[in-house]
Amino acid sequence: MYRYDEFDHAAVSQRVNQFRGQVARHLSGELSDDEFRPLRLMNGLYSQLHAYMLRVAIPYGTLSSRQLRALAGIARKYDKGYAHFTTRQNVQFNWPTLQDTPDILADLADVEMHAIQTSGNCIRNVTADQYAGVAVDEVTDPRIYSEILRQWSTFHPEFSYLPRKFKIAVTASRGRDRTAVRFHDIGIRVHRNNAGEIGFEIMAGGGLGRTPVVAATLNEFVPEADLLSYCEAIVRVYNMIGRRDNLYKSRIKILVSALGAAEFTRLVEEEWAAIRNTSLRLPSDDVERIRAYFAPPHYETLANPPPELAAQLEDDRDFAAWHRQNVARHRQPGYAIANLSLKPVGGVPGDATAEQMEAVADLAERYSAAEIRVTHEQNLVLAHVAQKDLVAVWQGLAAHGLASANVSLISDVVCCPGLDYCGLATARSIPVAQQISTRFAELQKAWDIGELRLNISGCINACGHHHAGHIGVLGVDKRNEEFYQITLGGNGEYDASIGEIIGPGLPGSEIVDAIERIVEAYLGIRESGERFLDTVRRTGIGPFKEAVYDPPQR
Amino acid sequence: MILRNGNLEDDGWVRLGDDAPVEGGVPVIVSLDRWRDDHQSLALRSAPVGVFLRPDQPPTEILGDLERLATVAFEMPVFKDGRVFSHARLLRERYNFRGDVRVFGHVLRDQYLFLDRCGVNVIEVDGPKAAEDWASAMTELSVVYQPAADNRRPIPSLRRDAFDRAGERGDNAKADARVRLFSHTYGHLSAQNLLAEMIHTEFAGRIALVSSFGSEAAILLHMVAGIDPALPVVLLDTRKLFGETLRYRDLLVDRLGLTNVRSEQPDAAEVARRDADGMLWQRDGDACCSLRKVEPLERALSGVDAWITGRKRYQGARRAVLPVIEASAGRIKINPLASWTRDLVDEYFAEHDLPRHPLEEDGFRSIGCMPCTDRIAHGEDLRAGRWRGRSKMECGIHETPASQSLTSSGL
Repeated sequence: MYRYDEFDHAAVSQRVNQFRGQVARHLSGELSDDEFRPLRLMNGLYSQLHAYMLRVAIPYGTLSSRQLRALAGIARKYDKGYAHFTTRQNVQFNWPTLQDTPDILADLADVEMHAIQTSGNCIRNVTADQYAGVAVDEVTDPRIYSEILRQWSTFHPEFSYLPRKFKIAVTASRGRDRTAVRFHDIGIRVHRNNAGEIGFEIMAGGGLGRTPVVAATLNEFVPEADLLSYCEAIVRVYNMIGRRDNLYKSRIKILVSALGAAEFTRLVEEEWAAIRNTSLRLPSDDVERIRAYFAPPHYETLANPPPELAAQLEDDRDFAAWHRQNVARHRQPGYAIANLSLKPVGGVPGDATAEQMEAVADLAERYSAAEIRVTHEQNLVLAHVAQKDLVAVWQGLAAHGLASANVSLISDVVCCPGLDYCGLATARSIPVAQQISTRFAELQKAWDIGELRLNISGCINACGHHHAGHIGVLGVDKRNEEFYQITLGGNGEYDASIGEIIGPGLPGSEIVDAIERIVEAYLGIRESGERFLDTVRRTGIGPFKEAVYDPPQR
Repeated sequence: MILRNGNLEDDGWVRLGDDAPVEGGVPVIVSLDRWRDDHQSLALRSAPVGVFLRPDQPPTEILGDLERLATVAFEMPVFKDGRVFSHARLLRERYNFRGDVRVFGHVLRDQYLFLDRCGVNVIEVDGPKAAEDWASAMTELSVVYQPAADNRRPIPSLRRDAFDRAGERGDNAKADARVRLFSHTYGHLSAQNLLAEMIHTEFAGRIALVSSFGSEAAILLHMVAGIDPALPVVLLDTRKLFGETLRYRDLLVDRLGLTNVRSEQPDAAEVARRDADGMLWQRDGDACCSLRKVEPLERALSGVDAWITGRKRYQGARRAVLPVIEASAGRIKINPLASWTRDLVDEYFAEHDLPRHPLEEDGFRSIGCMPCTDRIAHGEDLRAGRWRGRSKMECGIHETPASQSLTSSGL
């Protein structure tokens, strides 16, 4: 994985000191709330319902065991012993004090981590495929380009006061997209042209929030050397003409929609032509140097599958269930990708205790090249597990409540913190997620249902990505009562789609029953091989609407 | 007061309201509207003139006027409005404006550094403390990652220098990192898929197959013919090969439809000089291999970044740890059949009905040059017939380069 050199170390530690000074100036009254706000946000510090919240970046979702232990240490020392993994490969601490924050950032800097630009109207943490480097379907490791973009966007002097926040994701998958690339301000798909050269399909103007938009493709193939100049052109056009008069209309998606993708592309490419051959050009040697950091760990030559695996699966049904649902194919024969669900039945999606984080760090050290991945579905991944060690890994996870065999099933609910923590929320989301995972706890039943992405947001800002859920649930406030609106048919992959609202919102007491009726309707009408999403796409929302609002009398 | 490049000065300029009278001899900064209305009279004065732009007025509004302006000022009504950063950069970097670029309004000291980086050199300030603030703001972050309108060197450029200094060490590290990357990216593929990736994408136009046209060579030739029959195929014709090998070559070329098979021969003048009697193989095997194989191979591979060989691990102790992809003297060497077993080889021949080398039924299993190749007995190492009775095991074209050290970053 990437390691800081002397320049990166200098940048991060200087930033800690700078922020320490800003906190002191704020506490002394020199910096007003309004002036301090963007400064603390650009260091990841939010003011929430009950306390400050610190959001720490996990660039492209890759962590070392040492880093995860440091996060556990921070949870213990400065927080209430747990942390929350978000939908954008970040981790959040919910209870730090303002005064402690510079010390927390210093602790992070010691392990080459930071909270820089995890919030604020700037370029945020650049995300990537959690299976980067081990996926069987990837063109090359997307983290190389995420890291190059991370550096380019860090302390960008021109782009630190944009009209609104700005999110970039990079995928290099030939198969399924695991980054929700089409729901980003800039989405980047790494691929090769007919001559075999690496380049990028560049998409822009995607996003969720109150106006969900699927990103448009600006250019099918931007050469590798032009990655930074093309991105700089996009952000510059946005910075200059994006709306600033209305908070709700200031994301780039509004600009792209207003101009039309063709006109926006024209403006970008005109700007690009002017800066393409400047020092933004990326020499291939630079790329290779970054690439070297992401060289794979040492793999042994192992039997694929190991001879003992069949018997292990036979012997233990729980292990078999976990193996079936949470273990993915690895590009190296004899190895596997193990997904760790942070969605136990009745639990808070994405939360992990300090003990759990330490346990995962230990397991990674012992069995997975001391490296952990974080997914935008709020789960963790051990990306280099020898198949012969899967049983031991599973046992280690089970001992810490991390072996829920439900990845990508209905109980693998993606969920924002909602009104339990967040100052923007209009309804609670965590209790709904807990009820759903409890209702669908029976694995056999969840398997019958198959792949089903269920996403819950506690307000229109859509941090739970409800628009992109096969089933989306949006919490709204109606005359001081929590109501939940259901959308169906959303999807965050390459064939992205936005969920369609099926009807009026339902009170909290009815939402889980409604979801169950939707699922039963699906089980009744699905054709062979259809996932829930496929069925919704085939039939439209009609049958589901009927199941919720006009169920047959029993 | 103003900060000019961080120095506190009295502001000698007057920002004029649109209706305010112009005093003679005083440098003034006017709005874009006023400039448009009055630019002729303003330009006639002896004192310098500036224009200030609101955030919604990009510098393109005054492109034709820049030569007449000593100052372009940007108003920042709220510090959160970041358009000024783009506008200032364009003015400096694209339109090469050399006069003062000034900001006024709601400017935070925490923005001084980024303003400076974007080409702003004059900031209107309230009091003397601003100079201190400016000085500390400039040192708070000393490293920058990206180019802008200033002359701070970005980190990537500093790294390039450090890497160049690392010199040779860097090259080795690079080659080795490449091999690891390729192994990781492609090492799991089947031989056919690996070849297709290498030939069509990774090394398109820069890759060749080196074939002995020996006992197992037909497999790779058959695979390659299916992927790209025009791929350069090199046979090192040492002038000491068996006639059977040359006839087998012609048979395979014809049967498989290969269109770019080249027979690379040793340089005739060098042969005359170093091996006039043709008996060098007996006097000094290594010298003979060098003359007839190693040197011609180097010629054949000029312009090629990668080459494919048919070597396999089961072919002998020296090849037991053969990787699928390896670095070799500045090139990448690909051994798609490294892990193949004798059974797989036989199956492939049978499945595709490929002709066997005519010498095989005669007891030859590894076939090189006539004088140095012998039959092998049952149970012998497959290459035991090569240079029999001598310690020599390989001709030299596959010598492993000295092990290369690697540091992860080169820094």
